[in-house]
Amino acid sequence: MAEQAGVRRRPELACTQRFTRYQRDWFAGLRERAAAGEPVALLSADAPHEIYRAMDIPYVVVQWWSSVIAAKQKAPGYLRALAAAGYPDDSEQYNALPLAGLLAADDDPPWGGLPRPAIISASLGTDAMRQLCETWAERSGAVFLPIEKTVDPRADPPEDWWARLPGSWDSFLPAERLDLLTDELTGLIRVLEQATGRRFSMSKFAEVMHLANEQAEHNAAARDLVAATVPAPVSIAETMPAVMVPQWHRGSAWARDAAAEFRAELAQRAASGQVACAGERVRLMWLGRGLWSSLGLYQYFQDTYGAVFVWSMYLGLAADGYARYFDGRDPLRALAARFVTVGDELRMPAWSAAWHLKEAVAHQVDGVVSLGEDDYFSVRRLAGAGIPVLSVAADNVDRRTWDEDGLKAVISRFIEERALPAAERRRDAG
Amino acid sequence: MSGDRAWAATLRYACERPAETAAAWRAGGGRVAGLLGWSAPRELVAAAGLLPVRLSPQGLARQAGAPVDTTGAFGRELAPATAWFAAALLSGALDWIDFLVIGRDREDYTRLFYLLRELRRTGSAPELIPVAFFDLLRLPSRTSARYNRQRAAELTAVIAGWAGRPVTPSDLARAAEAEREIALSFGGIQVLRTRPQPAITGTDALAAALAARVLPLDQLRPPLDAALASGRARQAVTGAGRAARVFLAGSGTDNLAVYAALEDLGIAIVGEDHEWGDDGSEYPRTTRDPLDGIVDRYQFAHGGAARAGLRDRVLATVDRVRATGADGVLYLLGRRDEAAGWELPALREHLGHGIPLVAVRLKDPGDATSQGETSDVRQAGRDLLAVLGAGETAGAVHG
Repeated sequence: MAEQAGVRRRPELACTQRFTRYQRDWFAGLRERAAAGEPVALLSADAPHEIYRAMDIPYVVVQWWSSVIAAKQKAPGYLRALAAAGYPDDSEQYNALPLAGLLAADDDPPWGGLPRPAIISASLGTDAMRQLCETWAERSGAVFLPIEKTVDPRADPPEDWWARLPGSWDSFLPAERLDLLTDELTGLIRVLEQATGRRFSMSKFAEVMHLANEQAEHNAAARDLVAATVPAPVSIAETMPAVMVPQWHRGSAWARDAAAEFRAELAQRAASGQVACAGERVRLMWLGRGLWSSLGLYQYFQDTYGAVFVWSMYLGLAADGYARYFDGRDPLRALAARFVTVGDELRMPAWSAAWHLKEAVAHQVDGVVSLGEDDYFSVRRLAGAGIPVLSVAADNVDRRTWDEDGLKAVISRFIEERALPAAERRRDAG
Repeated sequence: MSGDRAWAATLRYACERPAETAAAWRAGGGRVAGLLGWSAPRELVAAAGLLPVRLSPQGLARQAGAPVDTTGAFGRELAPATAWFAAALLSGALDWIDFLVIGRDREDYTRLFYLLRELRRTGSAPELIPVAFFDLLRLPSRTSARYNRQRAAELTAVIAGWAGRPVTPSDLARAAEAEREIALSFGGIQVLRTRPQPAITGTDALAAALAARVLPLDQLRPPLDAALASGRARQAVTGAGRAARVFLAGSGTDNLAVYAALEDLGIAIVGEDHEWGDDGSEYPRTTRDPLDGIVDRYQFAHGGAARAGLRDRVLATVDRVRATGADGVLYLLGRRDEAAGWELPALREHLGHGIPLVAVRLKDPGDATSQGETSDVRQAGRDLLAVLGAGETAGAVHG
């Protein structure tokens, strides 16, 4: 059976193409380093990349590689290989695709193929993550370095994390959670030093942390530009790759400069009136993981309805989720404060519902499409603010759970029946 | 049926009617804390003088005979049985518990805690009983152990607040000692189950394990003692021939009908490693600070597959299977238990060809087809018997 092809996106920014070229060059270089015998790490998005960057241990981000697999329309075949080996093909697809690729033994893998990892690391935030990563480590010969994921058990956690975490993380977060992760990161550094023979330099690490904070500042400015500019200068079909390629290089000078470029190009477009969709009538928010294998689908709704997806979690989190200033404080504890909350912003209702509403209001959205994110309180708060929500049960990288025609139909109906009327109300009120 | 089986009726009644045990306790002026999850530490509740009653969303839904609404408020966010539990809690159907402690068995329970907390925080559920969460970490590391102790101490303080009295180290030591005493009995039951000719059925053993999570100690001790005495007095529960010895692994079930369906085929269920069973091997060790032993019991528990490590758990299961002398393994795969699915291939590999494994997918309670749960398990039992080259011998295993 032929794999389904995705809808290609139409470029909106010049910088994204430069970032994509950089990514290809970087990956080719990483393959060369792996071929020369250097250990390569595979890190989940919620693992502390900054430590690896500071130690110059080359790493690939699991979710990025999964999105490459999906974009190359390889996911269905890889998932079949997973099932053929006896593993679940309906669990943790976003995290399992690289393992599936290993099992598929594809003779034409994306981008020449992922080098065999020496290290796999992930935070234990889901039921099956530990089993999945242990399986993967055993199959690939890597060592698995798990990171604990704690829960905020407070009866009334304060909501405004985006405002208080960057500067006040050490008083805003429970000390026990920070103590634990700081201790774990200390242990991780020791293990990595022994496994790779490389030294951890505190001053190099502090520089990585400063660069990551600067990158977050550029992303926040870019996000604010998109939110405030009507019609929007860019859609998420563009911001997703434009933000995430640099995000996976977080803590490097290149990534900081790339984020600055992205911000500057957006500012230039906003100033000169260049827009994603000249006839913008509806502004939409995309909750949940992105359709990396079909980014052009987002633009279909621009072309058909003047409906622009202006918000996704990718730029949203890049803007609000990463900055942790540490002047006079321990940068390693600041890194713990960055990662202890990963996922809470999106899935802990006290935080996620408040943040989603704040972002929706700031971006002046008329409707929300939620893919695979069943967040009752976000839906309730958004609906309570007069913003309609469409929930779609699907997995972004598992095409057995969705197809373009089905999504076009259901989102089109949502736009016609609910988002367009909301947009008219917004304009009337404005 | 042979001998006096009043003990079996008592145990079965307790596990099938937890609300009645709770009501009797409350009628005597006591208060009840419902425990959701194997990792909700019952010792901390008992130490405060409250009655800990473990709650099974699947079992409660089954006993209510009500269809599980998977389309309601939380139906998309939670597994069907957990969503049913949330709805029951919010509707007052569980008004026989005064407090709720949620253990972090699986992230579905973490989401439930978040949802209940948010309902309370936003004033949407003013009648909701007090709820606490135990954020148990499972990596076998010093840092995780320290964190678990901090969280357990916090939880103890919360429970003490509920009880309106302090919880002292002596209280904790007594609660831990009671658990050791219960474990001793279950160790004895496991010995009876794993004799060359098993002397207690798997159904009775599971009923005892379930009842032990409901009954106060003074009510549990007599039927447990009677079960042990009955088993020691019997030759076998398996009839004249040699029954196929089967170990149940994988996702948890507290459904006695599942066990009975297998035993109806002539299968002797000689052990299990799922979260509802109890072979007496896990209890709080005696430690200078009793909280240490209690916390370690949970951090290093076999527990469920969710959030567990792969290799350590699989090797522990293989050890348990071998210790029971099982001929084969029936692996239960809960539909929402993703981790069990990842564990299955490794377990199959480590068991090797000598001990065949047959897997069966359990249905969610409330699924249109859930009435067929026992029939699916029965069919899997037949498949395993066929693999083992053993015949089906109806009624050959009975209490």
